[in-house]
Amino acid sequence: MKIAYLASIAATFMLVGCASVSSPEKSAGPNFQCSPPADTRLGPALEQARRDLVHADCRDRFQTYWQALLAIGAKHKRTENAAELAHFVSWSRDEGLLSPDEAKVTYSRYFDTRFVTLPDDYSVCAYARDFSELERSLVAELRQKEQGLLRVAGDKAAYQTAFHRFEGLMTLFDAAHEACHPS
Amino acid sequence: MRRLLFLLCFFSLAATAAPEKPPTLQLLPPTVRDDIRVTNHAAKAIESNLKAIVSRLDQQYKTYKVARCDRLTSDEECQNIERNMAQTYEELLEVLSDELPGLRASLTRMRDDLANRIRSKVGHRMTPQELQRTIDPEATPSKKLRQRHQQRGRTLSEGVRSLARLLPRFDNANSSGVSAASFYLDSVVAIETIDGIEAQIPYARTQIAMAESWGGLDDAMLEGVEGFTELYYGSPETRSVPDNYVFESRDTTKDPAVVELTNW
Repeated sequence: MKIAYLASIAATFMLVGCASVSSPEKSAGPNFQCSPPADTRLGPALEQARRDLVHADCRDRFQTYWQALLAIGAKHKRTENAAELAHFVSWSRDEGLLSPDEAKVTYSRYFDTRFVTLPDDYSVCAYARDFSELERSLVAELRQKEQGLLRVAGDKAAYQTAFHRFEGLMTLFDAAHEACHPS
Repeated sequence: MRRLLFLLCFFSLAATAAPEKPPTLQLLPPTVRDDIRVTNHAAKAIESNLKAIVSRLDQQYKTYKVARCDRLTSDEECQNIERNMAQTYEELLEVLSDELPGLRASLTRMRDDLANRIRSKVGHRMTPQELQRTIDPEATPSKKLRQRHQQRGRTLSEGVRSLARLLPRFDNANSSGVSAASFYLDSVVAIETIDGIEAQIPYARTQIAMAESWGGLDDAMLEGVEGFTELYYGSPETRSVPDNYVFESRDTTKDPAVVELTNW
């Protein structure tokens, strides 16, 4: 009886111990340093990012880590970088660091040939009076695609497609600006 | 029943096998294509008339330079050359005065028809994101990105040079929305350029009259003559898009994470 009692207490302590050991990342360690990866290789940098971002202190630092990973990817550009970074973004979404929409936008800004920053609410003429804001966001996204498609993934053909799409959009917006509000 | 099932299977396979193309933006109906043909015809007529006159002006200007007439103002031969140049210049202005109104009228019709189409099909009916879906980057003509500022010639010859560069663009009407938008923008700029040229013609005629009264061509008129002689010998426009991209095919779309994140 006594042995059974002691065994049950020991089992309880073991379970509590395992629970605390299995998720150390969920505890808010006040001394944890959220430093973006400095490794020059993308693989180890991604591993470090995954380890850091599960800490409570680092969960809102996703963008800082993401920019650091892009910079590391650009040091050794290769096609596989795009897929590896896609897996990282998917993981971030699954961990709750990003919503599903945020994950799509984050990845697509850099690695999709289409432009995600274009609004989908009002008609083109509604924006036609002042396209400068739209143009600024398109240019900014084109620069992000240059970074992602060209410098990180080394995919010249994909960047060319994005650029032609940008040219086509600017021509159509110019035409709509003139047609909707002739000077 | 079996035949119906076979047809259903066939068409569904055909639909899945066919590559997905973006929906086309029909901005060039037959009426607008007619406008483009008329404009193109008028432009070519002006070009051929101008070329003959400019060629003669070019020869006269070369003779003027070879004979160093810019320094020998009282030389009789030089005065003859100057009179001939002034007469040829006057002929050039006559061609512009006679032909430009007709060209302007057809450009205006084309501009207005295209403006209506763009407003109704794009402006009031599509969001910017929907508009993106109609663009096929493979079919987008790879030409110089239109300058955001209007290209207006400052002098008569600069205006005519701008117009000479614009008008050949109306020769290649393909059905893409981007092409139609380009035509529309080029027609807007061409009309503004013609307005600028027509505003300069009276001033140029005054210069010729003054040259005939006082003897000798002044610097402004010589500059105009030189500008016209460079009309068909000017340097080509440089592209604003770097040309150093190679079309290497790399397939990064099979990774499921990539497919999922770019499916929006």
